Amino acid sequence: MENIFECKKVSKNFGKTKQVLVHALKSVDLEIKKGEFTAIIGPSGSGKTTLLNIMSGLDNPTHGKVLLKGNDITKMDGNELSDFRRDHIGFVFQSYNLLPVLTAEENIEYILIIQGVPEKERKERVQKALIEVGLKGLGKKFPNQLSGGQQQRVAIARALVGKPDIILADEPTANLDSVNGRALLDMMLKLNETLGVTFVFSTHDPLIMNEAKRLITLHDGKIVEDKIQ
Amino acid sequence: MNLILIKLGIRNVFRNKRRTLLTSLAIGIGLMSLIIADGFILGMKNYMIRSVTDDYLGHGQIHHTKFLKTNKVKFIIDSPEEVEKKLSADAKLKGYSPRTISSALIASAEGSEQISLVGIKPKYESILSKIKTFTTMGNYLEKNDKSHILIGKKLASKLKVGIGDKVVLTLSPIGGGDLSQELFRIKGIFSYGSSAFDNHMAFINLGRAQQMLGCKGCIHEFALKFNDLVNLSLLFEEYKNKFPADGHLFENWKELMPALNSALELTDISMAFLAAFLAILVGATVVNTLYMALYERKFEFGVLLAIGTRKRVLFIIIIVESIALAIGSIIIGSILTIIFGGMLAYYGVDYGGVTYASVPLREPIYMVFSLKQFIIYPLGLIIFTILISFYPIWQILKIPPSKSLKII
Repeated sequence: MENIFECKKVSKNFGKTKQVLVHALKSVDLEIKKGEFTAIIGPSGSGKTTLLNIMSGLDNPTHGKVLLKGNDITKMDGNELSDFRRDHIGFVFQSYNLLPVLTAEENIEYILIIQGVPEKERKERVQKALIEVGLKGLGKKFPNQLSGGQQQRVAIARALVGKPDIILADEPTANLDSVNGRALLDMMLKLNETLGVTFVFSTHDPLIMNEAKRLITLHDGKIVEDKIQ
Repeated sequence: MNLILIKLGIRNVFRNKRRTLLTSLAIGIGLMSLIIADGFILGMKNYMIRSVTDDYLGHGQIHHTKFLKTNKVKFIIDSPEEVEKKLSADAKLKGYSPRTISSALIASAEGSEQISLVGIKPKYESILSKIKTFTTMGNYLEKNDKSHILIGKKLASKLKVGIGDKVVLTLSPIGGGDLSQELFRIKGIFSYGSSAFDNHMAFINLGRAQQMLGCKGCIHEFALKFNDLVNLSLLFEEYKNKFPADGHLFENWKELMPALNSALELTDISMAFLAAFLAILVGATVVNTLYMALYERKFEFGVLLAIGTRKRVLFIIIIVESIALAIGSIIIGSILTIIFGGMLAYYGVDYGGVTYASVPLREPIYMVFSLKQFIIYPLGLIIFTILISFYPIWQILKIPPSKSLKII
């Protein structure tokens, strides 16, 4: 399988003086292949957030390289990084984080607008994405008119619609009850299996840990276990 | 720019309706204050200019080049017939009034006062000035009133004279020699509401004044009034050229009353200060509101940046938000202005005869609306709001998305 992401000897330090210096990541090497369904786990402060930030270009590593399809994103400027995230990465956040003033459709469409997709194609792709996440007919609803599970589905549709190479999800089931969490996980598994969408999660949810095809365990900024399930 | 970005900006403004309403109200009140202050100052300026020019001065005057500088009666206008011929042929003039002006002593049985004695042609003067209107006791002069005089109310009080009483005028003829002294009967008493007029002015027929001055046909001053009040500056230029400073010269009211002109300029400066203070007030409100509104949504901005929104696009979204806020404020401010400004324009403010810059404010001052107030100031508000928004936007955009998000 082709590598989508590669982290090479990635380190991240926070703080400027020796007294307050924190080594959030210590020479991490990681490869993510196309179509993987990977969960990153570990205790709080183990470096999960920092690793996802660096993989998405939201933060720069202190040392090391992050390659997307062979291109080093650590060398990109602000606009290049924005475009990189727009075109290659889908985000799903813990607390949905839809824009409350836009309808479900508009939230999904937003990505396509900034990608410069023509209007007709946008409308078609938005409807398709809504169907894929099981929200057909709910596109005109504002986020506050949807349940938590439905909002998270919209967030996944938003992440999906731009055809990213990878979807990074931060504890996507953390705010959902077990029934909705299970349904969401099933949906993501289906997208992974049918459309080949690559998912990387940071999670504490045993459900995701059990279903993940690859489980990476971080501890004190180092990968201590990387296993295929 | 895509419609969704505009939608996003506008809908964001209405997310917190109460805050938006209060902010718009605060900015709207600022705008209303600015427009009302401007309209009121404009009303006062118009009134003062109209008052000065209509009461007596005219829009401009022609004198011998040295007359106003020296105040000497010998400096009469050369060839007044030629000047008058030009004036009478000019359709742009609403009217003109030839005058002689000299110092004189007026005496009654009860006392005497030094005055400025003006010789006038009653009919011409009634078109140019308001002496006729302000003659509240007795009657105005007529062409054949050879021995009648109009005096001010305060002067009459000092001399303890009334309508029909006799006074004696004494003045020095232009050519020197014996003093000229004549008996006059008071025909009318005027009340300008101005101390300078009511204490120290008196009017007699022009021919009689020329006779006392010993100079038949002499004129010290032509006061002029134009028809077209909008293009006065152009007319002033035209008259400057028509009457170049060779023997006599034309001066407009600004040159004749530099103190008033300075006072009006001072009013403009005061208006600029007021506008600056209101701008600071509005600016502080906009910055405060936007900063609060943006800061509480910094996570949302983090999300937008994370999903690939360029900072430039985010900047546009927030600017749209600022413009929407400004437009809302303009609507509220305009409605408030029409209500409160309309009341001031209808009822005016009565200053009870207070004198400002030597001009008695006899009538209420009314606010004057102009299109400029509803174009320039709102436009300025939008531009100012955009400019002032840069600071909170810059503050928000400089936060790295990873810090805005705090998760992932």
